[in-house]
Amino acid sequence: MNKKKLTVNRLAMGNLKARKKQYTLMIIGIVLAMIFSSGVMFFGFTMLSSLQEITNISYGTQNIFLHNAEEFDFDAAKNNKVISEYGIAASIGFIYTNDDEGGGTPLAKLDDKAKEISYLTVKEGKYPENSGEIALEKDALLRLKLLGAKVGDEITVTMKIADGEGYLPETVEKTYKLVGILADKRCNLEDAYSGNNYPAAFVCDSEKVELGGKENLSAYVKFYSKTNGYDKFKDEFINQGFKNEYGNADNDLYYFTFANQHIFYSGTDEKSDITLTMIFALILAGVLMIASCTGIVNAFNSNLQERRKQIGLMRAVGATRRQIITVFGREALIISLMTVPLSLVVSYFASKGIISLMGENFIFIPNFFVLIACGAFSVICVMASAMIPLLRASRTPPMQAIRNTDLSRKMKNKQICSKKNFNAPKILAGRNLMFYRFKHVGVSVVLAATIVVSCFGFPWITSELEWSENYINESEDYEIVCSGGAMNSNLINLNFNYFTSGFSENDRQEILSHPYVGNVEGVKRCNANLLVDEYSEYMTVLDYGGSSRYDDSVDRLSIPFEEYKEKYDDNISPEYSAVKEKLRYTQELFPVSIHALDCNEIISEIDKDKIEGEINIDKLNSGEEIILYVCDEIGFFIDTEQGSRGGGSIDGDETEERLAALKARAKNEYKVGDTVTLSVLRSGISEDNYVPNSVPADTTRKDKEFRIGAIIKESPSSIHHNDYLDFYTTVEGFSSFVDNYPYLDLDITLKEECTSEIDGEMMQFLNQYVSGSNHYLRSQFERNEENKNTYRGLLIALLSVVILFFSICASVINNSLTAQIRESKREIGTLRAVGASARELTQSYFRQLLSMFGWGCGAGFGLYSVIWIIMYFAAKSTDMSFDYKYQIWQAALICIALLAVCFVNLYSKVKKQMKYSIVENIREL
Amino acid sequence: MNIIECVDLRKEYLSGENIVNAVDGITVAFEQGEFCAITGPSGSGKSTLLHVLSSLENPTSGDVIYNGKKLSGYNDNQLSVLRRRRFGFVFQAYNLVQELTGYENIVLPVMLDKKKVDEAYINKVIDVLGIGDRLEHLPSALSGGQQQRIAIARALANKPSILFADEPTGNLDGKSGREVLSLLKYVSKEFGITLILVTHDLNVAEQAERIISIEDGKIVRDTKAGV
Repeated sequence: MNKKKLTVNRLAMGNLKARKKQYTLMIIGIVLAMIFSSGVMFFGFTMLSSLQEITNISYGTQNIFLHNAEEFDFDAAKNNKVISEYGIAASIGFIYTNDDEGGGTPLAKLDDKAKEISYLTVKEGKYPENSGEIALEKDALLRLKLLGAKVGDEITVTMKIADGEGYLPETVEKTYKLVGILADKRCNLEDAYSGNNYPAAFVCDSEKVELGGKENLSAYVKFYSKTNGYDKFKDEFINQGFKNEYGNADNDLYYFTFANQHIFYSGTDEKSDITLTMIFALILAGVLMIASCTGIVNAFNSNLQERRKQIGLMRAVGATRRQIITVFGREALIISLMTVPLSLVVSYFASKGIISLMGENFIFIPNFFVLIACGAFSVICVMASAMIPLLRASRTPPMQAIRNTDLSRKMKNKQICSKKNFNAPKILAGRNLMFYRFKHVGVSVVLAATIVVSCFGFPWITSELEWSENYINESEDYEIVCSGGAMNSNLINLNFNYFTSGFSENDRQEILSHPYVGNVEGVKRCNANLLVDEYSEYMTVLDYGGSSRYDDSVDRLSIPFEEYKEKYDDNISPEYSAVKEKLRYTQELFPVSIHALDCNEIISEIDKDKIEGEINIDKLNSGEEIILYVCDEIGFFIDTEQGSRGGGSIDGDETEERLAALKARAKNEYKVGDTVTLSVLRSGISEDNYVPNSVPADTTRKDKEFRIGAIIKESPSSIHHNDYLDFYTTVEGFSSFVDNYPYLDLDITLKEECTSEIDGEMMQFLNQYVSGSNHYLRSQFERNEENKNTYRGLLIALLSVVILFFSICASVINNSLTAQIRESKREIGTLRAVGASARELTQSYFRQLLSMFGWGCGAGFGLYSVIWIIMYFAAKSTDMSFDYKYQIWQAALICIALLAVCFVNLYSKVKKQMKYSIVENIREL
Repeated sequence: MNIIECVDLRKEYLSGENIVNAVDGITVAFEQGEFCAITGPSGSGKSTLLHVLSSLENPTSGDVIYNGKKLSGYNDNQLSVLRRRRFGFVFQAYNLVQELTGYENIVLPVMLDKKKVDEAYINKVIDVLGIGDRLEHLPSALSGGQQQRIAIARALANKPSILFADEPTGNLDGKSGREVLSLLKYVSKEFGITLILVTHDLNVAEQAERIISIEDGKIVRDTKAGV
């Protein structure tokens, strides 16, 4: 006799074995849910590990970088549990090329710990092992103007020798063999104050400092405490007698800078890409997981519905709700535990495959802990999903489950009377819909959600596709830009020699002579001062420059102009008056910019609809005329789409009265034909050496009168920098006024369509022109490719989401009907026994299907229409553009396809029941 | 005249790896208006014989002949029409459609046949069965006896030629059982219907005009009342 104890596990296993077929659907749902939920975890961990890796590569793993660290007692700090690790970087000199010290870098040798902590990453070649070898960060190559140098090349640099604290004034020429190119450390690029003090060039340990010099010691330090390490370090620093915390005022021997960054700080493009891509992947995997969990809820619900009577009987013989949940929940637990290995393997390889396609920045290194976490998370997801139908099933009273007594109650509530004559399939469908409304409401809700998603999704996909196509065909192929720092000296608009580092006519001609290049258009731009007898009303509204010209304590915006003027006259800034006097200005100076474009660009870029007057290229070239860019209401914009033209900084918080007052004062007063005087000031000094509010001794002044030939109300799209009262002319016209001035932007168009090979070659060719840190190169081809990839990804993702929603919908509908058919097996037998054919049975279920679709479609399309109308009127009321089409045909088409799929499934299920004999249908399980 | 007969009828089932001959070469005929009881011990094959005769199950071999026509030549739709128009069924477990009221259950075969209900006839059946006050109730609100009466009324709704009853009193107490049996006898006489009833209760069988005893799928005795 078998005396094995009857346990919950045994009971659950028995159920599973006895009902293998019915569990197939649920097992598939569980496996899918586990794959996607572990996928969510894998993507999450990948994001964290990738961000951590990028952070480490970009910043190192140190918490702090201590400069001139020779006198700091690291061992004491270690003993005091202030720091856990440190590594020493010994700088033997400061190297640079072409007399450009600003582009130089310390040349250091790192001990092993420093190499480890700083997370030096060799991109190409190796770390120096022998004397005379050097490795440079990629950016250092750029800064040293050695961009073309390759591993193995000899490079010659100028070196200032380290003297233990700083560098000796004498320099030596040194030649090294470039053996490695390292990943950039962001601290070199981002820390404006001490960027040049982080080593970006490295030699081997045996490299000696030049005779007469002494190594400058710095340290990469890791804190002992993860929470208050910085404070403890600061205390230790002060305790050791170092008074200055940062050292940037009077003691630069000892200062430290944070180099570590939080992994979510998006300091690099790679990190932003990772975060964005992984968030997208996480959302997608999350949606898939939720969808699969919905599938589990549905499948398990159907499964339990079929066993309603069994549950009722168990309850009748004394099983508590908890026992019901335990017995039936154990089935879900057993399935999920048994499928954990399979799910993890599938999810692991799928995630690995997808992540490897994402690029080299994505690092997939799941360890044992990650695998355990993924497995546990997926089981939790499955059990959480299974609990919903379990709780519902366990709440069913025993007799209700056994005898459907709830039907009588529902019938009384609905006050249903017998029908004398009826259509049998119709009445059966109607009663099913009425008695089991809850199930059908769920189906309709899922269908409605699906319709709303696809109604919004498809037009969006279409418009984005159109946009990306147009975008690709629009712009120039390459753009090299010299992006400048601040040009405004607060009191006057002064041009420093800093900007002469733009692109010369020679550069332009050189680029033009490249075999691939068809055209090069240049843009020049300089600061100028508009000379006026007195400030007009609208000038007072403008923000910029104003704070130094007159006393800022006067609220210029809230008082009448006359009153303001009176106060302004009394409160004129003495520094401004001094500058004016020094430069011999008798008029007021108002800051403006002059932009110069090529002739054809002037004509093609300026929208003819937005012009007053005429554009006369000859007069522009001769310097007789100039184009004024000004809005009707200058000085401010209100935060609306249309109001984005105009200037100032007034936001939506302004009161109505204040806005009305501003509008009244902000009218453009210039007309075509007016004469304006522009004054350009230039100085040979570097902006870094400029003393605020001063007038450099070498300042030159040039004034010129122009006639306003035309007024434009929108700036040309190729101009990236503009203010709200600017002037435009041709390059020739600009040169007649401001001589020897470089191009700040060059727009390059190729003769033929760009390919990846051409792009590679062009990028290499053009990189030589952007070696300065403030220059950058944009490849339209790369941007197009990125855009294409992004939109391709978006499209695939959106289509996947739409398909997924429909799959969920189809699965929910099919599960619901399949469960109902299985559940009604006996009823089908009875109906067949009394003469119902397959046709009548199918009709009955099809009517239910139609009803679900009717409600779902009605709700879905209705909801979409309501949302669309609300959006339309909201956009209309706020004058926002609304080009979102009302488009439902794709969703309607998919609904029809879905209905067809569901019908086929339904028909096959009924046919399957018909294959059984009526007796088999009727027989109790 | 024979209304239904079977010739060398066999029905085999697979039970594990063994083949069970539930009906083992039975040849038997039933006359119009006859009340016949098929009896035998549990597992003898009496219910299977009834199921095959009534087209609820297909035979493994042999023929069922109704009104001179072999049912093996009928397709599924034709069999459905036959069941709804010519046959009536009463099951031990009543088998009512749970979502329909008593009345709707009764007229279901007529509605499936898309015919108009013969009100007078249905009312008479309802009167005879004494269920006039239970027509608006769902099956779940009725007692076993009441459900079986509804099932009998449903079986009679289309004025069938043959009424098949499979242990119709099996789930009922003695009194209800006796009442249901009398009703079946009465309605078969009243409406001239052939009644083929399966029972293992000899007291029930004794009330039939003819008793067929089955053992191991074979007829072991076929006796008529008073013979």
